[in-house]
Amino acid sequence: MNKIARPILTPTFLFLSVLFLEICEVRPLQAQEFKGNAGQWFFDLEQGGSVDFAIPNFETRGTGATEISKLITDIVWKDMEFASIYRLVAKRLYEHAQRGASSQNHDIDLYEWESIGADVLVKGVVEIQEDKLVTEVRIYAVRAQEMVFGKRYEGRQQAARQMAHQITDDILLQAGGYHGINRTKLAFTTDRRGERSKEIYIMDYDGFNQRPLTANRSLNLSPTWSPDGRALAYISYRTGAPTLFIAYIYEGRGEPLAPGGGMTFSPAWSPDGKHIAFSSTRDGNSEIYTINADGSGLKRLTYHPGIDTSPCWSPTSREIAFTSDRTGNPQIYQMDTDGLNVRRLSWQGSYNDSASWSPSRQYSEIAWSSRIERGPFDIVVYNLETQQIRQLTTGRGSNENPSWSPNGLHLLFTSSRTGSNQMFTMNRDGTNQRRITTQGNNTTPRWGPITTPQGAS
Amino acid sequence: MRVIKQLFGFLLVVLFAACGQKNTRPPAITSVGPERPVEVKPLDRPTQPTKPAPEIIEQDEENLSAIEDPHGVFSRSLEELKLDSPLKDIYFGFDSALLSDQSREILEEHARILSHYPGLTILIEGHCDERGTVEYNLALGDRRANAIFHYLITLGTESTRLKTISYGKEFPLDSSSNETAWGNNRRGHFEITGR
Repeated sequence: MNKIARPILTPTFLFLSVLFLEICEVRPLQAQEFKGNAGQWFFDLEQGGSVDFAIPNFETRGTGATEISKLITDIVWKDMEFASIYRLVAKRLYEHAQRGASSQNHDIDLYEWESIGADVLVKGVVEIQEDKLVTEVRIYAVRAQEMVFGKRYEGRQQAARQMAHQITDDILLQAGGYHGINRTKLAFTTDRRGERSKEIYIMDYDGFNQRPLTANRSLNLSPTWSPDGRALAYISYRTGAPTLFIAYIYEGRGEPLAPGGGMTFSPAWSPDGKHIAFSSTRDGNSEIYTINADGSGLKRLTYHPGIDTSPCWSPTSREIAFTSDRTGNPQIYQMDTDGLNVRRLSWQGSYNDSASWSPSRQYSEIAWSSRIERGPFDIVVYNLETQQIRQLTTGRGSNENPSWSPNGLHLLFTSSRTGSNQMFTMNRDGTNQRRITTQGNNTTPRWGPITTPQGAS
Repeated sequence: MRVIKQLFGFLLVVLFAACGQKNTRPPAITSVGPERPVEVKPLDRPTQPTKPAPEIIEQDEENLSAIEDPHGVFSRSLEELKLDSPLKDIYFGFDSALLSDQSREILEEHARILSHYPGLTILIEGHCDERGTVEYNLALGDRRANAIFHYLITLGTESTRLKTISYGKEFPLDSSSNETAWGNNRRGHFEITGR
């Protein structure tokens, strides 16, 4: 046992943990500036309509902050565009609104911003104080003519991206109660380090800061996040047969879990953090098991001579969707976590696999990859209430391995549409598809959880 | 006399078959899971790119001691054997772990080689084409490796000399996306781990 439990502490691993801990310090701006009434500008888009944001380039105070303020503005824009919740007023109109204010010697003339169609104005000031980066953000409800939110962010200069993502998360939360995913991480498998090896990498949701989690030149696959974002379970061949390992990111340690005969693969961490579901051939055939995250309480859930694999949890951690070929080809099934109450969910397509259950409380849906006719795979979403399927991708390469964003508004998936397997994101209606990786081939992507307390003040 | 000899021979065969079956696991067909249409049609794939049979055999023959080495198992290094193994790959149909007639013939040859070299140990690798998920293909590759494992055992190979591993779709021979590549990638591969 002890022989297997080698620590996987590597220099890259340490590097990663240091960078992950780079959190900005956040302070609300002076109390008197918080006179806004949140109720007046909190937008409920369920009622329809749209809300237009103006986000002019963040200003600078002092010297040396020009580049960094451009970077921060740029990231906030990209984050807002990605979120696809609010509209952004085109930048070319801003000059007019700004000129009006300066001619009257005012800082801001909200009437001018209203005249270009803005409902909300986000103003930022960036300053470099010695080695510290300070950004102040103020949000104005244009028609109400008042500032509704203000916050001061402090951090190291290297944490500029992180700070910008945090600013967008705050904007989204303050404006409509949305849990932004701008500070979440994605985990995936890549072959970029060499042909006969695959390593687990982690990156920001927008594809930046790609870093290895493993560097053992073996085959490492199928990362799955713990709900607190502090650990990842994954499969590694580094001791021979595929075995389940857990890597604790911040502690920099890793250990095998659920040792047993045969191979162990396809892990999925439960949303309540207590269990890990996985497939194993320890009893001779590929079945689904659960085990407590501390390695105790191994439980077998399926008893079928077919292949049972790719378990994924419902948001309540009380049901598991999985793939089984018990009827002759792979289809999606659902069962309770005691293995009972099994029912088939997928009826269209000859090959359905790789289910991901939306963590959203608003939408009750499961995404999976579906092979329609004999073509390649496409991502479909099954609505558990209406039992209707909607197809999100259409026939451009093979689209596989969907993984929901923690707010249930976006999906991460892999596609071969550019010739190699790359990671893409899209909205839950299939719009806004964008590629976020370019190197090597990347598979088994999993979207990490929202881990930082939202809107802490 | 002749009749007796024939009878004796027949008895031997029956005995051998019976013994053979005693310690075997269930025959290969039970290991492949749920009923599926049996795919026994020969696979229409171009013969895989193999190098011509090794010609080192003759020149090395004088060095051989006790056991004859018709397949160059002793005369070559494990690395060389990896590049040109006497144990040829076998191929599978899409989403299938059934052994075709052709595959079973090849495995019978493998069993003969294994019995000729009693020290030979092998790792049976199950591989898949790129379609389908990483996870499902790991299970499918395992099923393929196991089908081979069980068949070699029914042919009399000691189970202790065989190990299995599934690499799913992780190590394709041909990384292009077409029927030929997929056919070449859905394979059982044999790595010689000891002799």
